[in-house]
Amino acid sequence: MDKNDLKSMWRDAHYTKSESDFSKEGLEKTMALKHSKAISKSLLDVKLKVLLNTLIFLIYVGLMIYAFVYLRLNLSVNSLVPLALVGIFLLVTATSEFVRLLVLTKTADNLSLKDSSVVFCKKLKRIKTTDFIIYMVFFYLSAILIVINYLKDIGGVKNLSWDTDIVPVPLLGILVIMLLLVPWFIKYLNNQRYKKLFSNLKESVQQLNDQSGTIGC
Amino acid sequence: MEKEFIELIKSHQGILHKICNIYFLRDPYKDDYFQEILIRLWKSYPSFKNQSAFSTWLYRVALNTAIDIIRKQSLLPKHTELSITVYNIAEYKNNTESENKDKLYLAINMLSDIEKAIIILYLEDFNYNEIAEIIGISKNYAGVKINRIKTQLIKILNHG
Repeated sequence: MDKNDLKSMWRDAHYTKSESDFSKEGLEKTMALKHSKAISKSLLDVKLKVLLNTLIFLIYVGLMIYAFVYLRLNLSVNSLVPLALVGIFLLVTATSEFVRLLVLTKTADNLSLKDSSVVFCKKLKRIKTTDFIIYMVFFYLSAILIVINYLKDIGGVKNLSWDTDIVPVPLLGILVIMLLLVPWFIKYLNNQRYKKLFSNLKESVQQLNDQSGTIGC
Repeated sequence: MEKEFIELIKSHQGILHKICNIYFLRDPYKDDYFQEILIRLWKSYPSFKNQSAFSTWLYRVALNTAIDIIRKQSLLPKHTELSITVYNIAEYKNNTESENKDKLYLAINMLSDIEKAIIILYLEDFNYNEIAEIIGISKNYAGVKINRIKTQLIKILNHG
């Protein structure tokens, strides 16, 4: 087949106009929309999830502030651990949905295809890094608070022993290690979640990298 | 501005149909994505400053939007995956009236998202400079890419 056949095939294929014409009213209606029907519906689902998760997390935080600040509740590590775990779970679910919404709504349509891919990739990386830092701060602070509370409960470092009535040291150690590992575990989950998106972006950028300017994603 | 945009879109609507047919061939949400491209074009229109031809700008935004929709598919809830997988051309060609058009579309469908963009621009008679500008690569590299994609397409069309 001659190479020029492609162009003639394309021209022949579009010789007759089979698609319907736009009406002015239809166009005006479409332009007034924020997104198309299917995309709006999907985004609404994500937004509702973000709202619900944030609301539940805020109620939980409010209750904790009420209990510990207003009522001056003083709980032992034994009681604090399940409460902390619930808080962690609520924070993780709220932030992960929020991050998804951020990724879904970011666009860079006006740039060239290569720049748009690179910019989107950078935005995605920034969102992931911010997400990771939030988890790091939250979980590492939680671990520190648990250790401080534990030491307070047993009356200082000098009373640290293997057999204690409160929480055995190995169990506390495991809990702290788990907390310290959670951000890395979530990072792994996020990598899995955005794997398809990243590989598509990487593929696009790689395909467009010539010798003159190699940009990474 | 709205009137001007409507007139421009009406006179260039064929471009949008072609892009949708290339990227969302046989997709149940094709009409919806067509609408999304229109909406994003309208949102981006204030940034169009007549520095390039309207069609060049239109292609850039529409191609970016189509690729962006495909990329984000995996993150959207309750959505079916896009049917951009390989079709069996040999099997398909017997069941269609416009054989050449379908063959060409199905062959293009086998290319990657970026390759699709490059070949549409080439088939639409954009010169290498314009293609390079829309895609964001050098003119020479655009030429190299076009030749590779053409060879690939001809191979697919000849051997299925």
